[in-house]
Amino acid sequence: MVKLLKYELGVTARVFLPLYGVLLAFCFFSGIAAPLAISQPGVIFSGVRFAVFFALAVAISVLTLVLTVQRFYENLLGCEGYLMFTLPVSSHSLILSKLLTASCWLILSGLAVGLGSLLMIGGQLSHLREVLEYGLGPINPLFLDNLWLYLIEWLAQTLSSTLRYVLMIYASISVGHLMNRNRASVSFMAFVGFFALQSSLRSLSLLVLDYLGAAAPIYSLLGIGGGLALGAVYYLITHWVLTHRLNLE
Amino acid sequence: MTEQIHQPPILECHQLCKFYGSRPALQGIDLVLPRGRIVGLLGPNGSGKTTLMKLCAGLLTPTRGEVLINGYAPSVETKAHVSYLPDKNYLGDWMNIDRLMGLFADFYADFDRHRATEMLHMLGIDPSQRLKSMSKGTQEKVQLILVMSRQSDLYLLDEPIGGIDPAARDYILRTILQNYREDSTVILSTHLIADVEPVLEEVLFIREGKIVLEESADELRDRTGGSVDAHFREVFRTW
Repeated sequence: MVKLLKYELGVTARVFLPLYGVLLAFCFFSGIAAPLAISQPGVIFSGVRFAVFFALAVAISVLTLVLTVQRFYENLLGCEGYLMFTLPVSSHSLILSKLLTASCWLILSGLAVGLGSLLMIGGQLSHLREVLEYGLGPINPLFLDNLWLYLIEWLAQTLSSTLRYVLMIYASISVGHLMNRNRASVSFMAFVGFFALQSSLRSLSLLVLDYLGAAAPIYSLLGIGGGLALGAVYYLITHWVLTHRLNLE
Repeated sequence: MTEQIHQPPILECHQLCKFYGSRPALQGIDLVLPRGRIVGLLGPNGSGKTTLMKLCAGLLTPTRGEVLINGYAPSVETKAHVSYLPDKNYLGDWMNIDRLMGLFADFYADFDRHRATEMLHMLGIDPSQRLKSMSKGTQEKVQLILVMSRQSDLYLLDEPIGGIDPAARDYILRTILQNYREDSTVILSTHLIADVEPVLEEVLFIREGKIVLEESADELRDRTGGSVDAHFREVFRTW
């Protein structure tokens, strides 16, 4: 498992680290140059630097998503799967190494974009609390009075939703793998189906909680626990397909 | 000696069937292969050679029946003792050979890095080269070297010399002979029967997903009065 993680991180790091480097270097120098733009007619400069930042942030987001799909699909179910599935490691290890690596890069990409935006505003860290409240407020205002609790809840929410999101992608690709043809289309349809199902479950549980007049922490705990439970279902689907229905053609 | 007698056959197939959709690829294969043999798995295109090898390697799941390696269904335990060479490039082509050897050494306890380095040297391949900068034939040589540098119980070699130039084929075949242990079994599938015939001890002919001949190479030659290659052409010409 550790060896698989090392290998997987090595493969993906060579793509992500340079990109993070470019983003953060751009944001750092852009932040330093920001006061110059204000003292001179710098509206165009300001527009350009935010456009470049936006483009880099979008590129990182898209690349993170693409690599999450590609590392699972090509490395396990494509030609490289011939190597991965002949290594003396279990399907659990293969899935977990992909899951942990993809989740790690999803979170790091978010952090890199967040840190980049802080650097862009010239490192005005005195506004950190306002930035956090603005960024995290929509999730749940429950712990606003206690920043630590709030951060812990945010971290748990982020981990739960990241794991669920990645596992939903893996389960969708695995469902597509059950077909003899049109695997990509079936995977996409499975993804849409899973998404619709989990949205319905979420709405239904919110309705029930509203009806019962549940306390605010229950909403939060249900969100985290429900996300992990759904993730577990996606994990089991993926593991079952890779163990009992593997067909590398 | 007693220990060897009690060892199960290295490969057993019982009523092994594989369907791709409604199309049958293997139809009720029954096979028992002992240890310490070099077996030629021979048949025309689409006869089921690759499917059988993939089932043994655990890359496909049988539709019916079972395949046993060393007495066990393909699993983590069996994969540690099976060295499989597919008929396509399956290694990350962005990696250089040094890194690939590191990967094999990390995961396969039976990988002999020294032996791999020696073979690369003999074939004039630079270990610092990336796979993607090599010709297809050289990539195939590298894959074969990595696979044969393991001390496995069972080698599954699917078209190991198909893309390799005739000049290097002799070396590759010698490599196969020199690198497998006496109690290991090598299953070798190829269309180039004349090239591999000198090393074959057992011959399996497969047609439409069924084993139609299973015989020792010497017995086959004695019985037919010709080579395995000639008999193959005769059997499959009328098909």
